[in-house]
Amino acid sequence: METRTDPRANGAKPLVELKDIRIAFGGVQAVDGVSLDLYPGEVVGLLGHNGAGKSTLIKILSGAYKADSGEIRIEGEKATINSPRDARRYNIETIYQTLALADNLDAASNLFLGREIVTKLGFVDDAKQEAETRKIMARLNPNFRKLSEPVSALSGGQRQSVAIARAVYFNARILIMDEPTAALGVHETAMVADLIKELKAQGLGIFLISHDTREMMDLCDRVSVMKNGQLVGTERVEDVTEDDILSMIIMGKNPKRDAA
Amino acid sequence: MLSLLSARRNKVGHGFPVKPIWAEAVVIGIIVAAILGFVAILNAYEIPSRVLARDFAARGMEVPEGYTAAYGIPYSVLLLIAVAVVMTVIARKTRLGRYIFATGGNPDAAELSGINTRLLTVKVFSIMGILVGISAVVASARLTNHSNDIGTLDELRVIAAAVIGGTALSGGIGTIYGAILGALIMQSLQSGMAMVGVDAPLQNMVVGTVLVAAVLIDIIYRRRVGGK
Repeated sequence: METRTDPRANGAKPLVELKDIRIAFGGVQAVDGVSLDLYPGEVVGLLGHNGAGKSTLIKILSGAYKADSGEIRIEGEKATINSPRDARRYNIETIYQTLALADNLDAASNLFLGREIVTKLGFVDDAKQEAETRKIMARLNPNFRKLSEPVSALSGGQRQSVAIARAVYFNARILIMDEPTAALGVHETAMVADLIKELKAQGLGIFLISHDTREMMDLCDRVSVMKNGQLVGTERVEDVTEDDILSMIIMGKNPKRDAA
Repeated sequence: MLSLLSARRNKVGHGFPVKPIWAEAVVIGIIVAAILGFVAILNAYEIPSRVLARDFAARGMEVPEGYTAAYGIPYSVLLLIAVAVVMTVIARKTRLGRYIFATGGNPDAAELSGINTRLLTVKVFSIMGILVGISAVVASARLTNHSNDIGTLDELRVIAAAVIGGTALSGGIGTIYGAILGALIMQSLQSGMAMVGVDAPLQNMVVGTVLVAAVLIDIIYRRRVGGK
């Protein structure tokens, strides 16, 4: 859409580049030629209406969907992501809107689902998994104690912390958070915000999806707005006001830029 | 017992709270007593002397003075125990078992966690095939010979047994020993009806009713406790 210069990115390689991604479901062009990039230690917010294609775009990166066309580059290398397994190999971790937890398993099993710790004999090491879960939970959510109960017995916030723990535990470099604070109370939301800042300081690249523009202004370095599958624009948060973003979401154009 | 001890050592290693030693000892004691009691009861049934005499006569021998023999534990029961132990280990301790439960609970989440759910489905069906093969060998061995329709409609009884044993039809919940208990209940029902002389068609009707009732209760119960 427009050329953007990121002063912090001088010389730095982008962690992720999405180039001209397209995907259609039947006749609906859900994502239509979107290009995005993400640098280490940066939080990029994705905003847009429901059905604007945010989640679809992000699911392409996390391997849940396969793009019809376009290119994904990770640290400058062309990446083929055909399944969530591939995405994990590139250290891309995702917190899905639906959390993607197996309700019948306990927190530790969910945390390590797909990547269980096994003993020498090849059996799942439940005790070790539980110990590790305790360790990370003590950091994320000290109130979390129901370790041996199925996840279905947990509250929304606790379920969310399990999903976040799963993404953070495995040394992710690229973190995708699809509305991570939608189900949370004020206190937990603040905790997630702190966590995002901490992870950012560690040099992770984070894609954040949310409907809360104010929260996005606080947390993100850049925001990208999508409408009807197309990218309206990417702006640095310092350069725009909340109203500008809102009009980008609603009208699909940036009034300031149009005026200039 | 060994697994109990090793589980304890593992927990201590990670600094978890554990039961005191005497409690573990009591648990081990109860298990040992239960096993010994089970063997003792099955050994208490002696083969009647006439049957013994006939068996020896068939081999052209005389029964020695004062000779008795017990029925003991049938091979099929030993096989059942072996299969139950192996399957429980697979279900609870291996990654495969964990994946099966996860996929049963939430297939989408399992797929997004990097589990190949299609391959997993094939694996589950092949495990079932192996188990059905074992049960077929036992069933036909019991009857010396039988035509190829021996297992007809057994699948309904199997489903009923699993549901009675606490397996959720919606998936993701269930235990091996629960299914065995369920099978015991179903078989007790059927054997009991045969002993009191209920007609065969009526027996099938009762089994069918139990199946429907079990499934119905399963659905109602899961809805009550807030499952799917």
